[in-house]
Amino acid sequence: MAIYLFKRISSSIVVLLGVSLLLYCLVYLAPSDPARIIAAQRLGGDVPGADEIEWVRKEYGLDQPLLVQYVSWLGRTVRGDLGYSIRTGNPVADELRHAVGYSLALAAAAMGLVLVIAIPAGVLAGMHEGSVWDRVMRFVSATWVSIPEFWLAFLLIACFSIQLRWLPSYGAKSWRHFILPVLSLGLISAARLAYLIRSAVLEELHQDYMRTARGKGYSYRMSVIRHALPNIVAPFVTMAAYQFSGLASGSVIIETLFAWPGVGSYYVDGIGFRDIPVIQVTALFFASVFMLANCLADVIIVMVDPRVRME
Amino acid sequence: MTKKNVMTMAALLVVAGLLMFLLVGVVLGSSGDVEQTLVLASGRPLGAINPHDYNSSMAMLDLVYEPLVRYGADGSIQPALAESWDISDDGLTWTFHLRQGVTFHDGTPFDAAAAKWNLDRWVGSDAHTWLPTAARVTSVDTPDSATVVLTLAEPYYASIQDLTLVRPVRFLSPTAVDAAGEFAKPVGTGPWTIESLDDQGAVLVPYAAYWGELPALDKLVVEVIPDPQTRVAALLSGEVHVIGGEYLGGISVESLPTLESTSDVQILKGPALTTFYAATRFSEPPYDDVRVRQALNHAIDRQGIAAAIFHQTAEPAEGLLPPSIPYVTRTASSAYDYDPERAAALLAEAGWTLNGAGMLEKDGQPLKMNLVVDRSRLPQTESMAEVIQSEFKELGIDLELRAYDYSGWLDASTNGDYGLTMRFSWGPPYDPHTVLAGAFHTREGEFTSFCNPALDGLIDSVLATTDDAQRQELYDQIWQLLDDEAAVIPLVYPQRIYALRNEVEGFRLGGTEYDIAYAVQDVVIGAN
Repeated sequence: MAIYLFKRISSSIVVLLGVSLLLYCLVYLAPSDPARIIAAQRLGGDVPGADEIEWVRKEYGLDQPLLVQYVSWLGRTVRGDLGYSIRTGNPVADELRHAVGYSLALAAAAMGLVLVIAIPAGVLAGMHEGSVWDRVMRFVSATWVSIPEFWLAFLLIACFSIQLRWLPSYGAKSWRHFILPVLSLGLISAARLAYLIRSAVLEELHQDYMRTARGKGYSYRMSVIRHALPNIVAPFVTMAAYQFSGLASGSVIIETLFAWPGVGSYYVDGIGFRDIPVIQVTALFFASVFMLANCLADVIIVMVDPRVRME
Repeated sequence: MTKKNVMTMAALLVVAGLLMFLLVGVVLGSSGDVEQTLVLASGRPLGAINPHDYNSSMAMLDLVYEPLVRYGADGSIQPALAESWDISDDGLTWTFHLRQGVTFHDGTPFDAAAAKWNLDRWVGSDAHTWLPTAARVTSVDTPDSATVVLTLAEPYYASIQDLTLVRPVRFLSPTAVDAAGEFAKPVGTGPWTIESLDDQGAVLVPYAAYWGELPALDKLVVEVIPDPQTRVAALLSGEVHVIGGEYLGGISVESLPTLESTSDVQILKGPALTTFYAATRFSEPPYDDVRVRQALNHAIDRQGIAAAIFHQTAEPAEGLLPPSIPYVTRTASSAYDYDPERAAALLAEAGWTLNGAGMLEKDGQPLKMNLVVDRSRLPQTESMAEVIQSEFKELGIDLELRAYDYSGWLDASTNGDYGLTMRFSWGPPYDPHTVLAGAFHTREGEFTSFCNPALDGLIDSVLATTDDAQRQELYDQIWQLLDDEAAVIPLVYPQRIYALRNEVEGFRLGGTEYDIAYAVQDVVIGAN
């Protein structure tokens, strides 16, 4: 178990290193000299002169070779110095930490909503295959999966903010500001997960051991709860981890839309301003969250499902 | 108590509760005093509100800090922190007489020493070489506590305009920096002082000891809302009072029909201050032939573009700069009239003939052009480019569209990798001199929209002239030259657009888009 954990974590770290190198280089592979872009930003978007560009180049250390820049950046990052934002001059570490709190709150609330809706819906649909409930759930799921989150967000804003004036359309100041972003993020993910849970449940229900359990005298409901459900923990945890990392890092659109000051908004602001240190660190953060979620999922599965441990 | 009595009691209590609730609601709702707080929406994060760097919101900077002189609503230069000023005959010595009794928000007096401390932070600095005044001022002197004297190395009439800007010329309290001299907190002399500031927005209140007239409002809130559609939604739901403006957060053209049809909201438009124009690679064929450039100008239906793509929120261009810019006069030329026949005739004169496929050709070479646009600047640029492409095609020109994001456009333009490229002017107080000096004057190794020795000479003279009448004459010559040479292809002048809730009274447009303090000075929130 400990060996497995060690191997899993070290392979994640290697992947992250590779990702960080790729991310660092990508920014500089983009067309146009970064010094020129930064100089132009300071002018509000028109063409900077050669003097401005040279000043920026020296100021931001962009006159070093790429690998040297990467290595010194990596050294600083590992020590916790994530650089300074070009736009604000503040340490990126501070700004990111502040933003992470908001994103995490949103992701946790959305994930909560997803689980509360998806698990009962998926399990019941699977248990009562072919029933009215199952057909309704499948229909709702299939249609909702095709709805883009931002479209749903605007629909909710148009209804609850503009027409009814019950809820605010932007910002992150009170519990009421939570409702629309969480609904926009959660409802569609819930539909997706419910469908997947239903498929997983169905697969287990068709196994031989279910017939054995019924033969032994268990009621249908008990045999599902005691035998089928524990077997879907593995695929369920994988799916849930994937959903969660998606929510935690991918809600870029929803955060920008609702002016929610989380990591997604921070990333978009950074890109808009060509704030290179911010872009690099935040992209690496997204990659790390994804890796961490998957790592955690693997560990949970190993702990919970003895069949995996035997392999 | 019997069950029936309990039920009756419960019912009565509920009814009483509801009545009370309604009563409270009525009382609160119809209170005569409407809260005098104006909420503005900003599309960009506000920043630290440091007047000497380029990262803070221009609108916020205008509310908190003041310049020596202001760009008035009518385009004239108005006194602000300087009550009056004298310029020597040779244009090299500028003497500013400072206003008395002015204090910063922390109580520090504003005097010549404070002014000099501020000016020294940017004059002559490498970090601000884009500002011509920063490069030309050689010394800042304070003969007494109410006078500041700037000495220039060479005459530059537009220094007064530079001093009306926001960044980096406004005045920070000398006590608002830390031990290392780095900016610590936003303390200015302006009518508004910051009560709270974070990444979600700011709250400002009037500065009680302001030297001028206090704003009518009790409070000003600026909310950061990056998405343009969300800004519209916030306006419609009543959470925000004003949206729009170049330096706050623009209104996308697609939202206008919705805003126009909503009875709670009114649209405020102002005359255009900037130009969108296409610059050509004028030193290379086929653009080096003035007849080709003239033909391209006649090939575009600017009225059509203003109507269809901008929904009448832009004016068709009649010259390089809109009439709201100082010194702009029209040469009464027809250089920019939509006249496809004239265009075809000019191209024929230049030796281009139609081949079998309906495309223009000269010596076996087809007339191929490309247009580079920065689609992130304004969503309409790409649509404009498409219309131009089809209008050129009617003449037989094969125009390839290259739509990039900002860095791609910058790269292509600075490397000369374009036939035509879409640019824009900056508006007052930068114009007309900045766009001419920056894009129409030969600069070593830099990309220009158009230049030639005659134009260089005119621009150099007009910047150095100290006589106003002579300056106007020189500008007239410049406009004439630009029209005669069909130097560039001006397209449209985008108008200033704001959308306000009906209860906002007294909002007015200043001389520039960053004059937010002026805009909200007299605002009163009426009843809903």
